[in-house]
Amino acid sequence: EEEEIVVTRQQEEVDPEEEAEFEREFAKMMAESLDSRKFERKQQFDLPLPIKLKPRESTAVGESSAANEAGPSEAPPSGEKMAFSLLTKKGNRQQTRTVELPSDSHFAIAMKKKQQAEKEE
Amino acid sequence: SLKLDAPVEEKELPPHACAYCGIHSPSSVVKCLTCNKWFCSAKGSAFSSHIVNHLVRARHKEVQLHPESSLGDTVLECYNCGTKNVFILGFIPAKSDTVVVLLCRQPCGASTSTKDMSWDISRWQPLIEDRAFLNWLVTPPTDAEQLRARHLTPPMIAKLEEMWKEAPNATVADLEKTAGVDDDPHPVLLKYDDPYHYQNIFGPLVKMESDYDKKLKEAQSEDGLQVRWHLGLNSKHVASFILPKIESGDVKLAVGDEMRLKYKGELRPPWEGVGYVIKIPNNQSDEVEVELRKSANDKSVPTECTHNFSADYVWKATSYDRMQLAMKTFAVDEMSVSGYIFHKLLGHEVQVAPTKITMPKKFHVPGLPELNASQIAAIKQVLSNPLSLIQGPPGTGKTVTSATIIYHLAKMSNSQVLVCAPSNVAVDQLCERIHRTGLKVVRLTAKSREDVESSVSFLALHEQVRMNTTNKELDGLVKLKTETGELSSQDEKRFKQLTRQAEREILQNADVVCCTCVGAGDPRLSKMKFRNVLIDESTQSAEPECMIPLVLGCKQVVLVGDHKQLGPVIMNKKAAKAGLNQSLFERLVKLQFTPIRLKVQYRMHPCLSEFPSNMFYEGSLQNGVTAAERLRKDVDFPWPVPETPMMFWSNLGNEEISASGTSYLNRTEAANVEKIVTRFFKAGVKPADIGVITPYEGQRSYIVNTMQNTGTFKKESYREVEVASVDAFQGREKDFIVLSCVRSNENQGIGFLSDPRRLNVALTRAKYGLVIIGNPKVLCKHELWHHLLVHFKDKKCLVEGPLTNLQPSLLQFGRPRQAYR
Ligand SMILES: [Zn+2]
Ligand SMILES: [Zn+2]
Ligand SMILES: [Zn+2]
Repeated sequence: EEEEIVVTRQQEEVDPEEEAEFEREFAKMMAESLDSRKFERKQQFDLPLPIKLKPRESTAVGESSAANEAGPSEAPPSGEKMAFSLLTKKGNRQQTRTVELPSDSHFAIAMKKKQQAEKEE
Repeated sequence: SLKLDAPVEEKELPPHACAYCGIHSPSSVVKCLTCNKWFCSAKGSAFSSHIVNHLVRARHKEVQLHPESSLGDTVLECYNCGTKNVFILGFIPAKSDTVVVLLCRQPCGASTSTKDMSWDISRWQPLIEDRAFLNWLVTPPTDAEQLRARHLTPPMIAKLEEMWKEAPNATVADLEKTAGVDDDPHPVLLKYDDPYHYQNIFGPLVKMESDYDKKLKEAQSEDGLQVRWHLGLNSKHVASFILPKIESGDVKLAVGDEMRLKYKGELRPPWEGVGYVIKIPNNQSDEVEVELRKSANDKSVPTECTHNFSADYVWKATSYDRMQLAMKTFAVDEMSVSGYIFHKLLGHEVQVAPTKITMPKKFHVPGLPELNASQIAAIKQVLSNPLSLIQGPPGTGKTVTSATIIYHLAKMSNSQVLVCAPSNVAVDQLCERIHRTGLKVVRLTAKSREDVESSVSFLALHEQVRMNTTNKELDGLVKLKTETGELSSQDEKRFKQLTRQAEREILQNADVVCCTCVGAGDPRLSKMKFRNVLIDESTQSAEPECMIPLVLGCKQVVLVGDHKQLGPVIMNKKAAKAGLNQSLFERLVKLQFTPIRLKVQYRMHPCLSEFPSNMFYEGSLQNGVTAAERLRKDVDFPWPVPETPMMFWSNLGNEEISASGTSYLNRTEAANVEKIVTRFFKAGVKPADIGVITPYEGQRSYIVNTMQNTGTFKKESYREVEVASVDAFQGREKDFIVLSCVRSNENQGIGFLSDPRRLNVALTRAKYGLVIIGNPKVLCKHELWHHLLVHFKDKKCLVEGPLTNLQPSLLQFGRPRQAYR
């Protein structure tokens, strides 16, 4: 049986000073991270796209419901999610894992536009 | 010997639970590779997610996803250069395919894009947006998860991070420990942020009470005892002796408590044995009886010796441990209670969609009395709500109403009902009523109480196992054990195994399981789920005690009680003051949760219910009995007004400190109690129908002695008159009640008597007549007693003079000096 409840909780006030303090720390973290790599030798990035067969189900995907929800075996309801492959490396081996992007994410929107354009051509 | 409790499996959060809030769905957590702690993507009240919060505050930068997340145990790193610093990682898409890759912004993502490249570097998107990881990479936890999670404010998070710098293994619990090092515990609250907050408030209070209880009990050790021996019917040795410390009233002993008896004399080698208390001092005798447990060296019990024994109390933490465990289960096990109950218990505002139920066609249940309108209204409301409070003022048929509710819950939901109360007596009473409806009931008792007689022994689990003859092997072993008293170790093992199996079957087949609140923590119930829970007399148990039966999976809860009568007994004054003496029922009432009140009382003569109704129940009590039904015309007693069998007899004698130095007595009042009791005897009232109530232990024992020494009837008759504290009379009734107030001094307070709930209980025990003996001049200074005295005076029932010639008192009462609290 599903339980339908509505919980009303008071919005907690966030101390603006604390918020600003955290914001500073966060910005510092970002800046330092970038700075530290300024003099890193440029490495040209290029990589052939993996030959796309069917998106291979990753071995690491477990049985948990969370994994299954997002798993590639179930077709996502169209218009809500779009399956992408994330390219990763394990040692020197290339791996792809399926990742579901919301259809309103930048990448999904761009991809849909592109597909549309190709169709019209 | 019997092992009392198998170790209970503790519920723990999984290792990958967020170190801040405890959320643990694999898709919502990531592991910090620097400190190996897990954090989630919830934002809580802060504006950054827990994981980002941690990384920034701890200056950690590398993470890994959960093996059971959709991307498996992926370490987030730049595909090209391998850097793992999440602050500079981002995704880039392929130009013409649904493929993405992680790349660092500097230098890999800063490389120039070329036309023939398959990747669109210009569209690099950072991994962290809005102070959180992209939600398609690490899913935000659901609302339900977040609502149940631990609630940490940003300053608490900051403190925790500070602690980790010194002690990487510290937990939120440690954080709270350092916060409350001062002596005074945190007082209880009306509302709690989350179950951890709840546990952090109540945990220390329960600990304080437990420590205090242990100290008290262990101080009961006594040497130089004289022991009488006899053999019980079950062929166990029983030792009877007098514990002088109990007489002083400092010590509380209960049936089922465990004691260790030692022989230290010279007539034989030292001996010791352990057993359960099966009798405590009562009106019959002051002796304590301890029944020794069967053991291999039974033959060596020094039954030939009588002197030089000592007794120690064997203190057990069981009940306190179970309270603590229940609070923990409440926090970490999302199946422990439904979402609605969860939020209600914490005092959150929560609404629930109405449950669709088909009401029973008739509410009357076979085997139980007919119901009145207010009882039916209560039952209807209870059945259609996930949480209800039933307030049962004295004599309003609480038990019948409860039994009826239990019957319908069991029939309607087709699932088992767990029925609890704080005391064994109350559980037995309810158990017996439920049995009469034809439902299958099991009474689960503690192992230590299996031999204690009760009206429902035949419903006890161990008794049902014993009587169960379907399993021939077990039946054979039971018989063998009864005959020979002992089994071979192999047989004993098999016997235990078969017993456990039989217990499981009986429990699973029951419609209703009855036990005390603490009993609900019995390991034999730990694997069971109870959707429906009813707690009777819930206003007499401390909140953590009520939690024990609740965390077994409840979805529909009924709390029965009356917060206008006495509450839970907490021995540690500090813990009581901090609010451990407030019941869950009472807190819910303070949170504006309206209890359903039963309104028709069937106990008292209408003249006796009038004052309590007006003073404690806004005048809402109606009388289900007529004056005529509650008038004992055959009893010749000098009531000032014969139609209103009540009187306040003015006694101006002084109070004294009792011999123990910790209590009070009042000789004049005691002498007059004896006169009244004797007068009732003369009028033909049976001793068992008279109760004498006095709030002070000193006066209690003084009255018992006075009646013995000066009463003109047989000593046995006086012995059968129950003389006890208000607390001991709660939940019970007598035909006639004599109340001795004791306190009589010019300047001091009136102690116990100033508690309105105690007065309410004292005034509502009598069915046919009530005599109050006290000093009106002293008592009228308190507002509540002032009202009571005015009431008695208005009714012409305030009298003075000798019992043989009572005269209306002409005393005038000024304004009361202080408001009662
Ligand atoms: Zn870390
Ligand atoms: Zn968290
Ligand atoms: Zn890189």
